[in-house]
Amino acid sequence: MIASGTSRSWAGVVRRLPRWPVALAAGVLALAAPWLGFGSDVLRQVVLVAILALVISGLNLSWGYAGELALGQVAMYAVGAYVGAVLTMHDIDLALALPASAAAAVVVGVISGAPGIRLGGWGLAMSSFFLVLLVPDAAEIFEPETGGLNGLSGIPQAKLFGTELGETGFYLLVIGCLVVWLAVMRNIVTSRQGGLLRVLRQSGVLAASLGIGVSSAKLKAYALGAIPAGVAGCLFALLDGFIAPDYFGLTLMIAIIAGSVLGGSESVYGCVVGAALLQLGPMQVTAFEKYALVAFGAFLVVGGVFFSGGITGLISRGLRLLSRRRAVAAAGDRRPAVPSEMDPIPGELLEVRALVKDFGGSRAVDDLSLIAPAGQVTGLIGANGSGKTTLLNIISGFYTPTSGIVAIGGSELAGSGPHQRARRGVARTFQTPLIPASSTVAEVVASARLRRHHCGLIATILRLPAYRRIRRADRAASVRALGVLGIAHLADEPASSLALGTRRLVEVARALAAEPAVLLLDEPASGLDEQEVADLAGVIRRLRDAGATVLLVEHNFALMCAVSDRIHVLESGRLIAKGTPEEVQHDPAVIESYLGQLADVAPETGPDALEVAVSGNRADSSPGAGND
Amino acid sequence: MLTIWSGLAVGAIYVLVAIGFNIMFVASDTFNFAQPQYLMLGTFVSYTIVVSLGMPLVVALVVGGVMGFAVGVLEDWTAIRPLSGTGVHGELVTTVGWSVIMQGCVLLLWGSAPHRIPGAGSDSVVTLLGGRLSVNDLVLIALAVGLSFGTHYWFTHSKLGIAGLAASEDRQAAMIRGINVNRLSTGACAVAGALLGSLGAVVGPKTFAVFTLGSILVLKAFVALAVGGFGSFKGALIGGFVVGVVEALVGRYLGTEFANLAVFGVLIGVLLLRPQGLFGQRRERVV
Amino acid sequence: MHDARSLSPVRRLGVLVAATALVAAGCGSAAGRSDSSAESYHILAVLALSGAFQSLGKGTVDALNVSADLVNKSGGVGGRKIELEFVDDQGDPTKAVSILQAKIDERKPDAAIAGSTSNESLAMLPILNRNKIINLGTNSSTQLNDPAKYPYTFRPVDPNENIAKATAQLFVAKGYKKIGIFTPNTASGDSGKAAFTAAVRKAGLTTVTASYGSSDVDVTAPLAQLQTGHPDAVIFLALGDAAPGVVLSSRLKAGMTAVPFYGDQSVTVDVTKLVPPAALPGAYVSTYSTSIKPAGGNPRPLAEFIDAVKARGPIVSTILAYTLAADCLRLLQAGAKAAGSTDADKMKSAIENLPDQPAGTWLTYSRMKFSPQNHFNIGTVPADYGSTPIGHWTDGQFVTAAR
Repeated sequence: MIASGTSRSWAGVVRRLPRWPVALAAGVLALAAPWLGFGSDVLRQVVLVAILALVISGLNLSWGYAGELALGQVAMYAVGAYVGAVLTMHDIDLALALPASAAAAVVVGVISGAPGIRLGGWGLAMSSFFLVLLVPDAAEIFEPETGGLNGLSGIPQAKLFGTELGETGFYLLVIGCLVVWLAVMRNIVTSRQGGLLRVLRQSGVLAASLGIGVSSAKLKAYALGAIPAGVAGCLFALLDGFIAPDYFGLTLMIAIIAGSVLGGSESVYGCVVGAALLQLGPMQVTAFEKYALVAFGAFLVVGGVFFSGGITGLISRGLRLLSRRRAVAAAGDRRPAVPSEMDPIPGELLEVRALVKDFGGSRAVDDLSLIAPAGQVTGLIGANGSGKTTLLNIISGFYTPTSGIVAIGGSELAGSGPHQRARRGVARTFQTPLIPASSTVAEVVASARLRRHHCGLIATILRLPAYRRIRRADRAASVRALGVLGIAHLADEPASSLALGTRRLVEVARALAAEPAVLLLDEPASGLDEQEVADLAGVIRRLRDAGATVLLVEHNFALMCAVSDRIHVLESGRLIAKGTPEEVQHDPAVIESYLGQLADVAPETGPDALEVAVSGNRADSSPGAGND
Repeated sequence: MLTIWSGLAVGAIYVLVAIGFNIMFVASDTFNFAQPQYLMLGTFVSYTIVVSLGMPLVVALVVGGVMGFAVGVLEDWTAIRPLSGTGVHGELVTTVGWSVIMQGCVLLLWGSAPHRIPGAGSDSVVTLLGGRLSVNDLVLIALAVGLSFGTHYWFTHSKLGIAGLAASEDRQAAMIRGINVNRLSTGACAVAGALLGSLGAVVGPKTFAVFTLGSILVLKAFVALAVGGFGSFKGALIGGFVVGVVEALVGRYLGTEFANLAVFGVLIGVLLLRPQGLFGQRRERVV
Repeated sequence: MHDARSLSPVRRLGVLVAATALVAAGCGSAAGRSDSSAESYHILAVLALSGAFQSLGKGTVDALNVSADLVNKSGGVGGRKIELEFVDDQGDPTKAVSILQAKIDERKPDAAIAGSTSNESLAMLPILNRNKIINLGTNSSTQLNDPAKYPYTFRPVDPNENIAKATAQLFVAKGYKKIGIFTPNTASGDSGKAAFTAAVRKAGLTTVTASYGSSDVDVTAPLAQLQTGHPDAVIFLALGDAAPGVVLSSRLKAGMTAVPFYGDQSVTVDVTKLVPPAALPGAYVSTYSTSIKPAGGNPRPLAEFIDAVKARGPIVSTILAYTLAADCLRLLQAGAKAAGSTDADKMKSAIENLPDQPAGTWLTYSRMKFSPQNHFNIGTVPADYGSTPIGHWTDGQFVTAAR
């Protein structure tokens, strides 16, 4: 506890320092550049960097933060450019043309991303990347307006609110757009909306189990990412007064991806660094004359190898390393502080009736019925493959049962998807904790509140009082949930750096913050050492005492017996026994079937489980068990 | 039939590149965007050997393979291995960088003018099933079929191949079981490079030795793989042929400006119905 | 560590701002420069000297150097010696504008050779014309020819319609009735298609069209589409060095060797090196006379020019790219002479009303004429066009005799 509370190391201070004042100062400086004696060629470079930065920034939002490999940026940029150009040629003011470009890009972004609702990863990457090839075809199809493959020349000078923007005016507009967008983006990603994006990136399953509609969240991410691309396109079209399909090709897409990776995909300001590298770096390769291509390639390889994760990422990683000692000390501090009082939890009755689930030919759950009343811990035990996790997945809506009923508080939940179940009050933890990378513990816990306490995008971006109110409530709720588990002091730690046992507690805290009607704990003790299991048992008991409905799935028979009010034993999807811990422990069918079988599968479940199961007493636990 | 043959012949080239992509993908779970450049390099090597030096095609196959192997090892060391296991998509940038480097080097050594390579078994044209195609096209199609089945068999039956599958499935687990994941990745990069490097001698007669070849092929081959299913060699075969034939048929009956659009339609259609591609395997588990 | 800690965040910010301002001031002062060479006529050539279009740019450099020597020997432009400055834009329009902007800031040129490709030129046009810089080039997109918008832009090239008209007349003379038009789906392919379709129809013939992907490696399918229209002859455009080879080998595969195929002026490679001999019979080019080396050798000015260029390096693309570049400088010389000044406005009107020059002035065509409405060369005569079987290719020209 040497370095408890706030860090005293300078690197830690720098890391915690808000970056926006620095960025804002840089933005103001850039805006002042025309009066600082820069030549128009320098200003032009700045404009080009700013335009590229806008496009990259959009990719960072959808890829870096939301984790969606949607690479349709060039198409959105092109659409923005054409819409901006055509409107300007029809003498329409930029005050209208700029938003129109952004809107058109949003449409393309949503369309190009739509397959992403079903596809993940490379499939989405491919289908969105392919749009690049369609730009010339689209220009050809709309030739009367776009000038076809010959391009559109003679786009007049930009007019904003009726006055023609000169060179300086246009410069200010471009930099202004970048500054405003970066502010918007910063406000999004540092808010709970950013938390939502991270949850989405971590896992669609997690998102759904927190009550987030995955499809609409993804579409929102694509749409947001398209806005800066569209604006950038419009600005680009007005810059030289000429655009052609050749501009919007693979080379540009490569530059955008490279800029994103080199600057740091998961960063707000990295796009400017990346854009500057890509805009100014290759400009210099002309000096290599005939070796220009080779030099550019080498630049990409070297940059990619040394700066993967981005230059901005490199800096923050460096700072984190320097302030490491403290993080380690904190993570090592597993022993909960004195837990605070738990608020009452209004649990509801969970009923499962005659549930059947077939996978292809095999029956994973067979005519299963059970009741989990509020204020009780209902245990579910069984060998691997006995259907425990399948049952949890059915209750939380990830699987549709072949037949049977799941009801909460007497009302049936037929046909609703996982996020609707979550909204109805089903909260759960996972066998392998699903904790979004680069989130603090408090943010992870607050992510459970995204569904109930909605805060609009506008309020978030403008930091309206509504946003601030919810933000405070989020913080209070997270700290309270962490407090009852005795880990409130970890609230500002990066969650993924914590030990496994602590991460499990964070998951429980997240489930608590969701104000659950039903709490599903999926093997919370696996991988924990003796002390941690004991702590966990205390937590579960207190949850029960506060009135929660707890459904506990566990291999650790000792823990199960210690905390459960009633235990259900599953085998091959069927219920073979139920009753109090004593009854189940002495049930001949259980002893023969379950305990015997457990010994068979022991090598997979680990020696701890075996020993606990046989002797009810933990003989040895390796301290490294938490390192998975 | 003429159109279909022409589609299959072009599709065969996509298949070959897609097989190269797949070898890397299966063994190290990365995509090597420089892959088609090995084919490009191969065409220039065989131009030098067959036309400039007047040696037989077999020499071109061997030398192209050796060069592809060497460049592959180099690429893995510099651009792929340093990033393996970092989780970020850095190889998106570094392999594209290699692609640009290879293109730049070829431009320096051979210039931008295209060169003709005489085809395998003369340039004669034959009529088959009512459609005309060149003998070289026939060789290409046969090679595509043969190689995809060959690599499929190799990956499912040889020890090394299975190790590759294991490594892409779970890197950590494979390492624990004593598989040298790094050497596997280098090997895959080299083998894929050697394969495409030597195939330059067969593809070159159709496409010419031209430095833009790689950029022309990269996206289409990738689409072929997405349609067929990432990681599946049979998928690469079917995907490549589907893309080639769709392009040809659309170009013939609707006009070439719709060819890309049609390929896009096929891609989206297939992916929406089967996100894992025609022959891909789903490896997700919900929770 | 101690030093770092002693700097408060606010002070660190101050240091950053101060440093940036210093850099800014440094850059600003570097922008000042002197204008020592007021005597010379400064021509800025922004060209693709590296990248995919480098062969285009490099040819232009040699041609401009040779031509500048000749022009300087005969009195320069309005008595001022030409001073050429070359900059590389890698064929990228945005880079071209950046470089041009920087160069204009540094020292405004008297004239410019703007761009190797049409896209580079189109992107540079607004700035060039805003700055009243006479600008020329060897490319020929019809969008460049818009004197109302771009008054200072000229091209020694003839408009697309003229060569299309000459080709159409050739077809009429051969007795063909239905002409296939086969073009790549690129910008120049599209404008070529439009020009040929108009010219052929105007000559009373019918057309059938098909297009192919500019980077396709096999165009058998679109050729088969063309074949269904049963054309008597086909005119094809082939942008890129490999395309003529692709078109002609696909023609062999599609079994269309009985139909004569005419490449237009875009065919500028030795096709005999790209396709098997069986693909050659019935393949012709219909192009500018300058691109065809007569059996008796080139006329003297052209022969001398070619020798001078070759002394600097091999001819890497069509001779037209060289002669047109050379004619740009000659046009400036003639314009300044007619205007009696090197003032851009005066030269502009002088070129629009250019009197006939002595024979042998121009390398590409017999005559050059412009008008206030048309800034492309409208002075060409029928003898400026010709056709020949596609044969060997030497020094950027087709050789008529050899086959």
